[in-house]
Amino acid sequence: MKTKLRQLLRPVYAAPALALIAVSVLPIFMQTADAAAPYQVVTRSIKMSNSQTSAGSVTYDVTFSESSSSYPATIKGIVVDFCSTDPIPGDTCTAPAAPFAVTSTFTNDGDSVTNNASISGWTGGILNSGRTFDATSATGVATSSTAYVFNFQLTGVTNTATLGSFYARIFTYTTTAGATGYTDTNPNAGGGEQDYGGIALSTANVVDVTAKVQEQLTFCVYTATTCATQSGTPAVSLGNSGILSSTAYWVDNSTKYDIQTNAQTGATVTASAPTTLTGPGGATINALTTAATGTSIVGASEWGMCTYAGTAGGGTSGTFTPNTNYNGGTTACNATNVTAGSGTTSGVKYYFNGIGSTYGDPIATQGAGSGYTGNVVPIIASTSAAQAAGIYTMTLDFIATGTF
Amino acid sequence: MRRISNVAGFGVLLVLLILFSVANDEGLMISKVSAAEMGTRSLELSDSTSGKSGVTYNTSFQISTAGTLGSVEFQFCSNSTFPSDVCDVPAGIDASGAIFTKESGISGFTILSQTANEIIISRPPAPILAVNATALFTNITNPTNSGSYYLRVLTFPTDNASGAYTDNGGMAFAINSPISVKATVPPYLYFCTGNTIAGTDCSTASGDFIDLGQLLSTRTSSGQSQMVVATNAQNGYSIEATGATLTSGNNTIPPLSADSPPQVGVSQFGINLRANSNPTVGADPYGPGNGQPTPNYNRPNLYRYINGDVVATNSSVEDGRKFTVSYVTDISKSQPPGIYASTFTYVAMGNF
Repeated sequence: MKTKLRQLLRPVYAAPALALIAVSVLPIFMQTADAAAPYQVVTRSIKMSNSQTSAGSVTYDVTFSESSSSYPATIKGIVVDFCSTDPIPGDTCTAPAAPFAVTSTFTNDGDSVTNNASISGWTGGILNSGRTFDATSATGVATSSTAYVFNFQLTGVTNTATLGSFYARIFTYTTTAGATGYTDTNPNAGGGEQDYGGIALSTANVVDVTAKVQEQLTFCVYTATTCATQSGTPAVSLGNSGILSSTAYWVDNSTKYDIQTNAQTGATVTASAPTTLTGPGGATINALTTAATGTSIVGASEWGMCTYAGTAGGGTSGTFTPNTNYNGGTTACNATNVTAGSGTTSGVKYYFNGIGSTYGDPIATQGAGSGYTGNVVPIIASTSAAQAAGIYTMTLDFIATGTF
Repeated sequence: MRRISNVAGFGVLLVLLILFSVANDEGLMISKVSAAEMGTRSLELSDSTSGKSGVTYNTSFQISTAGTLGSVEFQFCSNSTFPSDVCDVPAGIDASGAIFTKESGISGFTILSQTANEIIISRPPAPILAVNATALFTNITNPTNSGSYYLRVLTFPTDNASGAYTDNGGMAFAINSPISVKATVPPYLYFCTGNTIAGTDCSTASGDFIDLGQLLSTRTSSGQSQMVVATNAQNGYSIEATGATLTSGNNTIPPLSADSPPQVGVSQFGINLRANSNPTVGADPYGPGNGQPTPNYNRPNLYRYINGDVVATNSSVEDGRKFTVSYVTDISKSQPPGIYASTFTYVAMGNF
């Protein structure tokens, strides 16, 4: 009988071997010609939430369907035994290498499967010092005329330290004693074995992925059309042909800056000047340290600035916000309200409080993103009739500081 | 139960067994970084001008790892903030003469070493909490070229920046050209004369003829005119009066060569630029400016006239000033009859 059995088995072995080559996933075992229980579960899998060796708090999502020959039956016990050796029921099962361990805790979320044979409410347990999980219920799950799908999650599992394959043996029982009495070499020691099946699992190396995202701050100040076309030191000449008048103010719109950053707290643009506009004999045209409209400075020797946004970069540009003192006030500083050249009436307010400031006066902030280009800094100036004649100069320094 | 028990037979199956790694719900794993990244951090420059020397660099960084701190390394690079990358030295930067001026959140540090692009500050290793720290360096020269640059800050438990670092943080900063601003204020001289001028508005100037009426030896005759001046001449201005004295043919009324009061019955002519009571004529200078009559024409009731004299002046800019010229004349009984006239020209000159 034994011999006959062996002879019978060899061609049976060949068939599944060939089948394995052709098909990626197939049942590991071929049932013998005997049609009685236990039956082989089908469509079985164990999905690991983490395949890293020795990982803890791993969840094993166990799914299997009853054999079409298995129902109707009332299943009252389930065993999942993990082995490093093989998935063959009845073979000695060596536990996967430490620190592998299952716990008695499980959940049953059903994975929204049809005909879910829920074991919610069952009693979980462990056998063989954490190698084997079992669950039992005196009531059990009555499977009827269609194949039921068992789906439950073993939680708190610790993976084996061995890299590579290991196995699980699944057994269902029509008695609770069948599950609690399970042994590896005699799975039916407690009786009532209904279904069985083997599954291969594998730990794997993790893949280290590294991506560097560097701090970025791009800032360009220019008076040309664009940053790229700026040549030489940017220069501004205030006044009609560079000559100020005591009967009208002058607005220059040529100062611009581009800014972009990935600083998560954004970047601040500040402006400073070592001295105000200074001319012959130390005569000065003073900065507007109190915001004032263009209208109000006609005939006075004063200058100031405001700023407004240019063009947003593509995608998420980040928010560009002029500082309150430089946003023009009630009449906003923008391309509509600010007209370059000579004028006598303007409600836009101008301001500057960065003379001699170590780090400059904040004029705008830029949030993380693709940034803005062509942000404008209109500069206004006027002179009184008594202002000493001569050439007045100063240097404006714009500084961008990113907070990463 | 029937059970397959031939281990050797199954050995073939096992060889052909397809092992599958069950899908990992979490996908790829990110490797753990051995050292901590600093928290909020920034670098503030006092001047972003390319090539500028004497610049202050104010660094702020949040130390993430509590432990032992012995040294901090500040390294400027033109290419990358990552310690694992090669650091390209920014052209022109010079921190070799940097001065460690101020620290907060950390204490007891001094400069251990410094090069053009690196500064290491050090102290005897001591415990440190996860704190916000600042380190301020002065006297640094900015990179030569405009663009983006990077600062790497690394903390070490050792006192000489040797061994593995504890925390690291990167910052980006930008170097630019400054904006050169120029404005020209043109020379300006505003001057007019008239019999009357309202306020200091030359557009209201009217009249250019003063009739002193019938000259009598029994009384003083007088008249007045006005002139307004404003200028941004830094060194001020002067107003000169030119013209002959009152003349009729070959006869003249002699001008007063020295400050004198009116003398009835004596032929004389003079002017001043003050309010007078003898006779009642003229007015004191008016307006927001500071100009004054010159001393010889600045005393009430005393008159003189020398052709070409400077009669008013100011040593700096004038923001609008009106002068009233008082003309006073007397004649003797022997003054030859005739129509006596003169044309006085006032010339204002700005001293720029």
